[in-house]
Amino acid sequence: MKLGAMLAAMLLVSIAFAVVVGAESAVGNAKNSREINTDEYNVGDVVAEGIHVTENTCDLGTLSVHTKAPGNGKTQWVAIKVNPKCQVVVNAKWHGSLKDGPQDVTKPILSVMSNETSSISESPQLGLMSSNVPVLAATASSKTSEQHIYMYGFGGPIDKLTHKYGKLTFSYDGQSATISSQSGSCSGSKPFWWYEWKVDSCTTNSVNNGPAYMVYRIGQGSYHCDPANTSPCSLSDPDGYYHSLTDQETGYADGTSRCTYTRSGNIVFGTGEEFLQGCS
Amino acid sequence: MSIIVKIATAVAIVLATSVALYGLFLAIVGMPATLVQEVNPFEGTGGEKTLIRYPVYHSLFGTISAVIIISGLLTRKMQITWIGFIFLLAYSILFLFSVGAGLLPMVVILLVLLIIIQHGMSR
Repeated sequence: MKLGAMLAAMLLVSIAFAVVVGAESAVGNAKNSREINTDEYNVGDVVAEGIHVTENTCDLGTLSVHTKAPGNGKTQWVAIKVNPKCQVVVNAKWHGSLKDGPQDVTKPILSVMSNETSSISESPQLGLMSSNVPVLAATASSKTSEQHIYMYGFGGPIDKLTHKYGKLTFSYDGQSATISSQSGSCSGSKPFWWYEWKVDSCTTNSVNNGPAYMVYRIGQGSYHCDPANTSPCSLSDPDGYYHSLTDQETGYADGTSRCTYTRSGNIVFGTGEEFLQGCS
Repeated sequence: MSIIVKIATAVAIVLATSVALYGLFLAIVGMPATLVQEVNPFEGTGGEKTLIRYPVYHSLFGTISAVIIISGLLTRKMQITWIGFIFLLAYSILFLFSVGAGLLPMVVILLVLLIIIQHGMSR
């Protein structure tokens, strides 16, 4: 009985959220069906991907969503949204009543429920609350975002010369995010004894530990080709290919994250980045 | 075959072999690099430097080019040798800012040796 209500709620969450946040709308396609066990995913994870049918419509196939019933009269909630890239993303997960969920998720659902449905009863949860049995609040999850930035030579991205790494681990609960750990490092290759790519400085420029809707870290590495006045380091103007690579890893309260970078100074040919984990 | 051509061939084979082995070394053991931990002024940590090695697989281009040169020299087929040489030259120029700068002097010496060998064989 609970599971039925829960699945109905999940579908409603999906529809309601799509409506409220202006995300893409989804259409079903029986040819392509997929089962999703949301217990295997964290908030922010992409669980399925569809294809654009029109600008604002996605074909996601048939999605079947499952989650484990928590028992003890509690309700497990899973909010799923479809983003503009037609990706199905777990937007929030929590135990307890609907009101315990993140407001940006629950408000649009409650507004839809009052108008369109009365099939989801929350009386067991309200009963638990009134008898002072603790109802679990939003479940905090953790995510690590890590990227590698590099400057490369004429050989292309396989010819990496200087490197910048950045890593951010943050916890989030739908309302806010907090950094649990962050680190960064820089490196420069040393092809032969007579010249190298030297790391001049490697610093953490800025950190917003939170709790906040958005947490981030910014790191910067400065490099040059040494000795600057001998070949091949002297091929730049001014000599030495002095340059900087700056990385930023940002985490959001809803579990999404972004990894970005900037560069400045003289580079040999180009710069690139590799997302090592969790940059979405 | 004159003694000069024989010596030039032997030196060219030794040079090409060292290029091939160095390419293998970089792919397996890796190229040295200095790793520096970020200095975090907010926590007063970081700044540690360590010497690391990371494999550079593009060095196998140099190894393959050198093997082609060696096989051309051993079979006395100079066309094959020149093809290998052009690959090695292109690799050294493209990767000038990593291993290329070290290979270029060897490539120049190889060029002189190959010209001597070519000239000696065509007489």
